[in-house]
This record gives sequence, C-alpha cells and structure tokens, in this order.
Amino acid sequence: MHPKDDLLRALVDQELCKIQTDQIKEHLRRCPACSGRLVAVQSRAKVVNTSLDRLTPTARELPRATQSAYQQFSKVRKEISPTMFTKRSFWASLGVIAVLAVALSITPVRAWASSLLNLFRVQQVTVISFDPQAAREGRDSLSGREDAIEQVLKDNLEIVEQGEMQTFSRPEEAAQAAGFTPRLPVQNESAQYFVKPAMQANFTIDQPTLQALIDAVDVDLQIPESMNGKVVNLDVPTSLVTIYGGCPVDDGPDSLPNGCTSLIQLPSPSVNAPEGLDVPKMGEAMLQFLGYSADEARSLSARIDWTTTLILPIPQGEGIANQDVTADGVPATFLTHEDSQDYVLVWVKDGILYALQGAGNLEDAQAIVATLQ
Amino acid sequence: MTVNRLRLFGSRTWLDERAFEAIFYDHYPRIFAILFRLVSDRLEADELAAETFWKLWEKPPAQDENVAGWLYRVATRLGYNALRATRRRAWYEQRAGKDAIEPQSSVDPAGTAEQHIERQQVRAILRQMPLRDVQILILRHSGLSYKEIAAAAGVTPTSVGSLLARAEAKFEALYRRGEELPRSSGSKPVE
Repeated sequence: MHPKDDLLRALVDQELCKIQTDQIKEHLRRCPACSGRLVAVQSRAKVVNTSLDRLTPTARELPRATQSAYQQFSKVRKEISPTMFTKRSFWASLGVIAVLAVALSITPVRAWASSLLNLFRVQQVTVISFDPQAAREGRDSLSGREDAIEQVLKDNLEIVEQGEMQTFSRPEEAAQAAGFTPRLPVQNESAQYFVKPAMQANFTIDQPTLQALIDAVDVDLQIPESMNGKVVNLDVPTSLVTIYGGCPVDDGPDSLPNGCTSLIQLPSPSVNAPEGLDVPKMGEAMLQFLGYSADEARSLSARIDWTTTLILPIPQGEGIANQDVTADGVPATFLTHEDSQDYVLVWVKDGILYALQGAGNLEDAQAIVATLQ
Repeated sequence: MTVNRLRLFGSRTWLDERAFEAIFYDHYPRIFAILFRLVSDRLEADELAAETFWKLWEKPPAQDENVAGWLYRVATRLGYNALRATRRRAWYEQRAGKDAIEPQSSVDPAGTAEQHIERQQVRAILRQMPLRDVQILILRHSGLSYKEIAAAAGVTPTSVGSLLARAEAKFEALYRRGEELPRSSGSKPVE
C-alpha cells in the first residue's frame, strides 16, 4: 500500500517508529512513484524551512538572560497580585477605585484599561498622577502579611456574577441582552458584541483585622468599631463590549491584540456603604497609599467627590500621558503610552461610562465617537 | 447565577511559586524564540512572552494538562494575533526597518536591511495562513517534536505529519505566488 504524504513527511522528520520506517523504506525501494513523492515532500519542506530560517533570531536578537527575565516578571507579578487585588476589593468596596497603580507600569494600555473599566463605573473620571517608588515603599510595609490579607478576603468578600458572558453578531440582540440602550457604531457590519454579566461584590467589614492591616500601611485612617459586621456592597450592571471589525476575538474581549478597536459601555455602578464611613477620609488614605504625603493627600482629597469619581492612578515616569479633552460633547480623558500606538478615551455621558480603545491619535478616536448612535 | 468566592486565589491550586519558576526557566528562551519568529522584534517578543507567562500565573491549566503544550499554544496564538494586528504591526515593522537601516558598528547595514525585507516577505505569507497552520509550522521549525506539537495544537500526534504536510503545501503555494503576494496585513487566511 502506498504511503500517504503525512507518513512521508513524518519519515523525513524521523518521527515514525522503527517498524513503520522500515516498511516505508522497503516500499520506496520498489515504488518509483512514491520515491518521487518523497522527493517532492522533502523539497517542499526545504522551501519552508529555508524561508522560516530567516525568522530565526540572530546572535544580536537573542532573548535576555532567563534569570533577568524572571526577576523582572517576578517583581511585577508580586506588585500586582495579591496586593493589587487587595487594594481593589478594599478600596473599591468603599467607593474609591485605586486598582491600577502598579499594573500601569508594565502592562500595555489595553490590558489595564479593560481590567479597570470592566469592573467599575462612575459618573466622572479623574486622573491622579503618583510616584511609583513612593507607592512601592508603602506596599513594602504590607509584605509578609499576604496570608492575613488573603484570609480577610476569603472570610469577608463574596463576588456574585449574574450569569455568563454572551456573544452576539447582531447589535439589536446585544442591546436587548445588555438591558440598556447602548450607543452603537453605524456602518460596522462586521463588529462583534459581548455582553458581560452584572456583578456584585459584598464585603463584610471585620473591623479589628481590617484596622490592623490599615495600620500596617501606615496611613491615617480609623475604621469605627461600630462598622464591624456591616456590609459594603458594589453593584456593577451589565456591560456591553463592541469589538470593531477585523479584530480576532478568539480569546474573548479581554485578550484583544494591540491595534484592535473596542468600545466598552455600561451604566454607572452603585456602591452602598453603611452610614458612618468617612469616604473622603478613605480617599485621603488611598492617596497616602499611593505615596502622597498626608498634607498633599488632604488637599487633593478635598477636591474630589469620592462617591462618584473614577480614579485613574497614573504612575509618573512610566511613559503614560493623559490629556483632558472634549469627546461626545462632554469632558473626557485621553490616555496614551509612549511605547504603543494604542489609546484609551474615557468619558461619562447620561449616566453611561464609555471607554474607547484603539490605535491612532485623538482625531482617530473622535472620528469613531462621531459614528456612535 | 454564579457565586464565585475569591477567584483569583481559588484558581491556583497546584502552581506554586517554585513550580512556576521552574516552568519559566525551562520554557522562556524557547517561548521567546517562537514569538520572535512571528513578530521579528525583541521588545514585542519579550512583551508577548511575559504575557504568556502572566496568563499561566493568572489562570493555569488543570494539573494533568501538558503545561508545555499549553504555553506553546498560548504563545503562538498571541504571536499570531500580533502578526495580524494591522496598525500595531505597521508600527513595529516601521521600527524594525528603521533599526535595520541605522548604521551600527558591528553589522552590515545593507545585509540587515535585506534581512528585514526577507523577513517581511515570510511573515506576509504566514499572515495569510490560518492559525493552526502557522502554529504547526513555527513549532516544528522551533524544534518541537510531533508529540509536543500535538499537545500545543490540541491534535493527536499521528495527525501532525498530515497537518504539517498540508501547511507546508499552503506555504509553498503562497511562496510560489511570490511577487503577487498582497502586502497588506489584513488579508484573510487561506483555508
């Protein structure tokens, strides 16, 4: 029986067992047609290999030492998790959002933007610049307490998702599933739509443990003992993510390649905190956590409405630029990174938070905004 | 309704710090080399390698799954997406081209520029091919065995020869088209 091309190809790569190899070689000795096919398979493999050889890294394109790569990766990973999660759950539950401090310093714009904007929504957006080094020193005081932090979260935080993410190709179906009237791009027939379920986070305050952790960070904040056992609740409504045409979405809307255009929109979330919590004071504490002095934190905190403001902490010296602009007829924030062509434009209009991500400049972003209906 | 307690901590039951470090050391150079073949840019390959390992740390596969296969699958998918992301790619291509023609003391500028053009041509072919074909070609060229390729591509080892032969036939056909190849990166994969 004549061997097919797959066997001949495996023979070339010496990937067949000895019995099969011997059988095919014996056949080839007797069959000029198959010998000719083997030559063709070898020739084709050579064309491909010679072409792909050109893509092999040269001596000056080799990766850095694995140890160096691991050290950097490890440093970044420790800064993000679990500390990042700790900050997010704690602060967000209290109506203050300060998740991205560290993530910004390493991850591409699209990654941090989606991690933030998929979770929290508010009525206005404010950028706060901070010194990552000073913030890092603040976090050092938490090192060694990871177990305690994890335990507080395990014991006190519950996240409830209202269903699964749904994918749609027709905008009207997506709009119906989203449960609000979204703005959609006109003339974008190849767009895809993802409806992310609503989410609730319920955090039960364990005052003594929480206070001990706050004291460890060395910020000036007292959680009243009367708060013990009270629940802080964060309600995040269903969100709609529109992925513009031409973008591969195999890994879902959170893993888009650079250069893709996407629009996230969702109604404002709500935070229900028990009476007696001093939210501005907590905002102040968050600023201290980001490395601000007590005086600076007090001054800045006084100018922010902590109950309605989405805080985007932008680390200094990390190549991230923010610009106050007008988009969609309202104030907006335009963020870019010097190592990327991607941007994020964030604005809030009529109770809906929008985040447009794409590649290009402000004019490109504005042109897309102008197509929303 | 899904009640999910502490997903971030709950998902990592077997992949502790030590195991992760061992995996990183075992696979980082190869993951980088695979990604470099797809993007031809050290910075981008390094970023994508970090993203690959970040995904492993964040959401590791089940303990009984082949971790190497999982890593190569994720890496090639990320690299393929980067290869086909038009505007981002144009920016990297432009930068790589600039690097190629800028005089450097120890390299031949003309040779480097030629290499840059050749690489663009090869990547233009890969851009037109479906993900699985590119995965199999790149992984095989990176020295993975059929068994390793099968784990990465989610196929049986006995089917790798067949898939490889077909992918090579497609590659050769596009290669033979030569000058007629579209230069734009948004073209649809050839099924």
